[in-house]
Formats: sequence, C-alpha cells, structure tokens
Amino acid sequence: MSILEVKNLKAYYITQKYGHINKVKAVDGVSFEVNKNEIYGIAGESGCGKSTLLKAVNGLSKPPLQILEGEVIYNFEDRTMNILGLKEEKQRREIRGISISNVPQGSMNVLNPVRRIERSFKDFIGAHKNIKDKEKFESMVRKHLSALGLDWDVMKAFPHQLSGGMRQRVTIALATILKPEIVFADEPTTALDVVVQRGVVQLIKKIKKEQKNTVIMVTHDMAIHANLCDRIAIMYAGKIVEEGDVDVIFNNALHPYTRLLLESLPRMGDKSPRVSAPGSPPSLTNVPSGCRFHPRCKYSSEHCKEEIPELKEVKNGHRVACFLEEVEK
Amino acid sequence: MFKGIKELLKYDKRFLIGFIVISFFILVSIISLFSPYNLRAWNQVPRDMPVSSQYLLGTNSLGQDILWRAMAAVKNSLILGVVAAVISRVIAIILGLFAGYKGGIFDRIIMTFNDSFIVIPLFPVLILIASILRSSMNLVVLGVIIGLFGWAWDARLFRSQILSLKEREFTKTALLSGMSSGKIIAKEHLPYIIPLIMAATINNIIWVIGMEVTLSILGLTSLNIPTIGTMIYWSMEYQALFLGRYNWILTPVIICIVLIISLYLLSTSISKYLDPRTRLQMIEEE
Amino acid sequence: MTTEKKDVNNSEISNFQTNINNPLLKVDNVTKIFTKGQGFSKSTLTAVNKASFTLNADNPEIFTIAGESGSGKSTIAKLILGFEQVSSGDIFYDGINIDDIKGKKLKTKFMKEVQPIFQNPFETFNPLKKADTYLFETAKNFKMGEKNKEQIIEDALELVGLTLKEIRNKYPSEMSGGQLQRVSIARALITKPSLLIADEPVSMIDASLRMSIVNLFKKLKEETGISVIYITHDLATAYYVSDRISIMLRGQIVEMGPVEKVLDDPLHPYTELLKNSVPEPEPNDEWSKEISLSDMETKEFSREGCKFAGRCDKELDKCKKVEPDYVKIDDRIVKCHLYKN
Repeated sequence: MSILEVKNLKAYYITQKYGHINKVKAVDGVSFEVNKNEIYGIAGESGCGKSTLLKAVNGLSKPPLQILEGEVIYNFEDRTMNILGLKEEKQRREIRGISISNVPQGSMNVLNPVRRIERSFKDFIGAHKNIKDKEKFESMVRKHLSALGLDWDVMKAFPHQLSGGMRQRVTIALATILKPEIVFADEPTTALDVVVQRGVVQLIKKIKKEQKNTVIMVTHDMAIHANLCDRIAIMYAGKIVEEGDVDVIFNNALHPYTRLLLESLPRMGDKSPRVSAPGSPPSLTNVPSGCRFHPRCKYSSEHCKEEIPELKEVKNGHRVACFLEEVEK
Repeated sequence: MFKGIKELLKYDKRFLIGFIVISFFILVSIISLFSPYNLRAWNQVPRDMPVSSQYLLGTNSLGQDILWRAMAAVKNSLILGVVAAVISRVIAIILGLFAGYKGGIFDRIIMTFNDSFIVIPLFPVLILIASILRSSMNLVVLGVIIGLFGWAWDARLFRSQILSLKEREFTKTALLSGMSSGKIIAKEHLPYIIPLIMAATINNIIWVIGMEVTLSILGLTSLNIPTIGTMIYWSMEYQALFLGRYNWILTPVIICIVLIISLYLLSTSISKYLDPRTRLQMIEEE
Repeated sequence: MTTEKKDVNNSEISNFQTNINNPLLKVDNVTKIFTKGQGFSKSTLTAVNKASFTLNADNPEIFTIAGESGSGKSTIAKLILGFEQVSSGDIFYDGINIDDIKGKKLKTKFMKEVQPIFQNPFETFNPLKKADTYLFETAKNFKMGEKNKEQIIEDALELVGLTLKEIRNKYPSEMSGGQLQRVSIARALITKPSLLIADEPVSMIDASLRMSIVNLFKKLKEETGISVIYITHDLATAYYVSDRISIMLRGQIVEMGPVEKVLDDPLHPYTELLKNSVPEPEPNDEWSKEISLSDMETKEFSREGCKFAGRCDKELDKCKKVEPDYVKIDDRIVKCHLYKN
C-alpha cells in the first residue's frame, strides 16, 4: 500500500531579473511511489534536483519555485489528499507536523537560539495541538526522549550549549514528537562528524521502529543510503534514472550513472585505484538533449542523443531509464 | 556602466521614473542660469500676481517671479546636496576604511570620535553654528558645514562592511596570491563597497536637502538665495497659506517632495542593481 | 610478530619515525590556547595540546591529520601557515622556526613553498571576480614564468586535469565544486611548493567526485615530490590516499602511524570508534552496537585525564584522572593507558 504517489511532477525555478529569464528545470517529469513503513532514499549529486523534489512534494514550495504539472497524492490513515491542490496555507500547516514532518539540514534552522529547547518543543507542539495540561505535555515529551536515548536535561539547555550532534538529534526528536506518518529528511547527516552521523542514522532507525512511520531521505552520500534505506531512487539532472531495492542497486546496478557513482566511492581496507565519474553534472538551465547523461556515458549512441529514455520496470521493483536495457533485451 | 543604465531603464520602473524626474530637474537647473531676473533682489515684477501666461507660476509678495525662483531653487538645492554629500562621503570613506583595515587602537580611536558625532544632537549644533555665521553664510559655506557633520553613520557602515570582508576566505586567497593590501582593497573589496557608497551618497543628498529646508524655515540661512527652504520661509513670513496664495507655498513644497521621492527611487533601484547577490544571479544566467 | 613497546615523551614524538637530518616540517610539542572574553568572563580553550610530528624532506608523503570537529586539526593548519601564533612549542619549516620567518625575502620564500587548499572552493574565490585572475596574480607576484606566465599557468592546470581555455573568463559560480577546487589546487601549484596543506579539501564536494581530487594528491606526490598534509574527518579517503595518519581528539594526537596499520588494526579505542562509524557503501554491513554521543563539548575539553574517558568502553579507573603517556609500539605511537608498560 503506497502512502505517497508522485506522478509526472514538474517543478522549475523561474526568475526574471532585468530582462533575463532564468528557468532552472530542477524536477523535470518525476514519478515514483513510496510504500508505507519503508525508508525510501533519494540519491544523486548536488544540483540534480533532489532537494527541490522534496520541497515540491512536501508542500513547502514557494516562489520562485513553481510547480508546472503533476500530482502528489498522499494516502494517510484517515484521508487521501493531493497536496498540490491545497491552496490554503492553513490546510498545509495542519498536516505539517502531524502527518508530515521535516528534518532540515541544519539544526540551527529549527531551534531558536535564544530559547531553551523546552520552549521550542512547547511552541512546536502548541502550534498543532492544544496543550493545556502541563503534565501531559511533559510525560509525552519525556517518553519520546527516553525512547530515543536523550536525556531530559537537554530540555533546559540553550541550543549553543549542546554539541552539534546533540542539536541534530534534538531537532529530529522535535520533528517526530507528534508521531508523523511521513518524515522527510533533507541531508540530515551532511556536515556532521562521522561518529555523530552514525548516531543520527541509528536514531532515525530507532524512531522508525518505534513509531512505524515512513521515512523519505535525501542525501548524496551513498553509504548512508546503504546503511539506512530499504529502497532508493537515483536522480540525475532533474529525472530519476534508476530505482530499486537497496541490495539490488548496490550489487546489480544497471544504469551507467549508478554504476559510475558506486565505483567512485572509496572503501576502507581497499587501496586499489579508483576513478571519479568523468566530467560533471549539467547545469539545470541547459540540459543536454535526449538522455541527460549521454555526454558522460561510455555506452552512449546516437539514439541516446535524440530520445529521452523512460523509466521502465525491468525486473520486479527495479526501474531503469536507459536504452541499453532495451538493446540488451 | 552605460549598459547597466540601459538595462535599468528598460526593466526597473522605479529607476525609470527617478531618472526622468532627476534629468528633468537637472535640465531645469541649467535653464535657471538664464534667468532674466536678478534672483536676489525684490520687486522685480508686480507683486502677488496669480498664475497667468505671463507669469507661469505667478509672483510672490516680494515681487519675484515664482517660476524662475523655483528653478533656481532646484539648482541650488541640488548643488548644495551634492557638495555636502560628497564632503561627508569622503570623510566617511576615509575614516571607515582606515578604522576597518587598521583595526586595533586606530579603530578604537576613530570609532570613539565617530560615535561622539552620532551622539551629539546634530540639530541644535547646526542651529547654533548657523546663527553665528548667519551673515557670512552662503551656499558653499552651508554645504561645507552640513557636510562636516553628516558622515558619522555611514562611516560605521563602511567599517562594518570592511570588517566582514576582511574575514572572507577570498581575502586570504588574495593574500596568498601575493597581492598587496592596496590591491586587495581595490580589486577584491571595492566591488562590494561601491554599491554601499552609492546608496549612501544618494541617501545623504536627501538628508542634506531636508536639513537645508529645516534650517531655512527657521530663518538661519542666507535668506536671499533662492532655495527650496528659503522659498518656504518667505511664503510663511507673508502668510501665503492663509491668504490663499497657494502658488507660492505649494511650489517649493511639491518640488521638495518630488525631488526627494525621485532620489529615493534612484537610490533603491541602483543599490538593488549593484547588490552583489543580484549580480551573481545575472552572471549565472549568462 | 613481536611488538616492541616503549614509553616515549613528547619531544621524542616529533623525531619519531623519520630521519632527523632533513625535516621538511617539524611540529614540536605545539600548544595553542584561545582565550575568549575579557576580565571576569574569560574562558580558555586549548585547541591544540602538545602536538608533535615531523615530515621528511627526502621522502615525500601524504600525512593525514584526522579527527572530528573540535579536534584541533584545522587549528594546526592555521598554526603551520602562520595565520595564528603558537602559545607554546615550535614549528620548524626547512630548519627555520616559523616565528623567525620575518622580512619580505623569507616570507616570500615560505609562501611559495607552503601553500594551502581550503575547504570551500566557493569561499576561496571572490564570487564577483573571474577565477583565473588569481592564477595570474600568483604567477605575477611570485615572479614565476618570467616571460611566459600563461605557460606556467597552463602547466599547473594540466597537473590538475584542466586547461586554461576551459576556465578562462569564468566566474566561480559557472563552475562545479570539483572543477573550482581543482583551480584552487592549480593556484597553489603555480609557485612550485614543497608542501601542500589541504584543510578538508573534499568535504564540500560530492562523494562521487572526491576521487578525482584525492587521486590528484597521490599523483602530485608521486610525480612532483610534493608532500601533502591532508586534514579530514573522512577516514575512507584518508585510508585510500595517505601514507601515515594521526588521529586527533580534543587537541591531542592519540594515535599515529602507517595508515593501513592504524585503520585496519586500531589500538586506541577512539580510533576504533571512528573506524567503525564510517558508513560503508555495503547494504548488509550495518552497525550493530549503539554508541553514546557526547552532549556537552566543553565537558570533554576541560577533562583532566584522558579526553576519551566517559565515552570509552574499555575505560580503566585511572583514565578519568591521569593523562596517559605516549607508548611506542613498532612503528606507531598511541596515547592510552591500556598499552602502558
């Protein structure tokens, strides 16, 4: 049963300054489904549009980001809604926090630096639920924190008194306190120390086990995907080029880009020479014709330059957008 | 630069309006040099004549043609504004840059000096000076005096911009590339500081015009020189408002308002255009 | 294999494992203390605490300083480059104490031979200026390539896999992070340095492009004999590219030695924790044990004994009270009570 269905989503940044019109085709025809209770990862290099995809899907899009076409349908416990149809900020706010929650990249974006953590929690919960009963509030928060292995002492501190890792974990606790059905995380582990990163990943896993929510995780770090996600989608230049179960992708990737991506990662204990993917991702204002990867692909042919390959299912649950597959068939 | 002006004219309505109005005023100022009347004398023409084809804006109770007077007033106010603004900019830039770049004890001394100027109630001081110098006050003297007092806020502004620029990593890179301090200031930092200076200059002109009007209304400047302020002064002296001589009092008031608004429009549109972030976006698109 | 254990004191560390005769860079018992505030609200932070290591001029190597944020690794870079002054201890470059490098001639020589590479290429360059201007400035100001500056620049760019044609007249925002970082490295190479200090050079670059930069360091070492101090928290790239590694924790070097030995078979519990926390791009290789994270950083810094006590699962009684000494085991050193004779 899918909790989120995205169909043919197109979201561009359109800006106009002094006569220069600029169209950044960040999300250019993306379709995918996320199943209930799974951890779904969206991977890709910077500039591929994954963060924009997240923004467009969770209803946080603001000008200059414009959604040109497509559907984003949520199948919550009690209702189904097309989030793009919600014009009212109020309606969007209602689902935020309770049904959908966001974990942003920088914890300091969420925690008010001049307020104690406790206050931030109160503000957040108070915005969505009525907390008249002080005891009830405390017990709810206490239970949540202890389930996550966080000390109650943290509540009395100011954000700057905590270490970076602790702050990030508090932010995650805050984002999940109302037991949202879906949690969106945009690069939650980037810029964190490696030990803290591990702590954060373990925390996310713990929460998911406890609350049985669905997690959609965006990061460029393939190793994090390997350790955390059930299924992943690889994005390139605004489109999804491959999608599948995490073992399938890591052991049997089909798209040349995915393969290049995996081969360029260093592994501990292995000093054998490795190479980066050649060239660099295209600018989203000026994408190549046909398959967007063809300038960097060693298997590209004339066909690849002319036509855009569609994301098609090759095996059970494994989708690829590449003409190579068709040829091989 | 001309490309910039063209672009601004085409796409930014505010700049367009401001540019047209100020160009018009400059034209007016040039024309005023050809005034057929002696602008300092009274009784050049019949008094209190209403608007007519001979006296396009009528005449005032001192026997002066309002139209020609108004044009001269525009010229004088603009000159005053520019002179005073330039003087105070130069002081602000020198002090601000020096304090920012040298730092340490120089910074402390300069900023203390600077802050004392911010704290001094400018207005009473100017009134005091103006009343002492009243007899020898002419436009230039007035401009210099106002200029000597108008730099304190902006010096701090420039200094803080420089402090932040000093910390940027590209400053380190420039140092490591062997560039001398002078070169770093000129090539690395100036592109950030210039938009600030331009906006600050235009804002200062506005302030100076306002200051002149205030001082003149209080009768503290050389009242025979036609400026926006002195026109208002005389019209009030002769009860123009009560006597219904609207052409006399409204002319300088409307000119003042229009002038200030158009300067403001210019200031905001230019500084937005020159803002490094806007320029970055435009670079990316090309 | 018999392991040879020997207690060593701090000043011996810097001479450890290298030919004392010709040190390229010698960091000798260096401490850096930052003080914040004045008067009553003064607080001190010991960012670097008695750190010592030596690089050999005859034997170019890639030496990694690894640690998390707050370990002091970036501060060491700043101390070596002269952006900060040491509080105690000495740093010698090519036999000369860095404090004595004054005057235009010596300073210029130093700046030519020791070049840094910073973390964020988009901060390294002025966004309003074309990136190639820095290349030309460097060539001009250090008088490289008297007649033909373009050739020198072209050569430096070729070393990093770029051409002048590609990057000419381009603003930083028109290039990718990887490209721009390579331009930054090229700039550093123009003066034909002997030592590169790379402070987190790949952490802002996509994981898939990191190899190209890191391979570059390897190539530079092998082909031109440049030594590199590679500062990072990414152990995977450190393993791949370095010869020796030192692990820093709260300002102290807690383990140092050849990278394969240190990371394949870590001695210090902190090294082990670091190594185990590196996520592998392998779906079935998951972390089994839960870890405890420090909550207040200041607590660890001001701790008396071992800085890792409190998080260590092999903690002994004396760890919280007594600071451990360095112990030499074969060609490594480790600062831990567990190994004391």
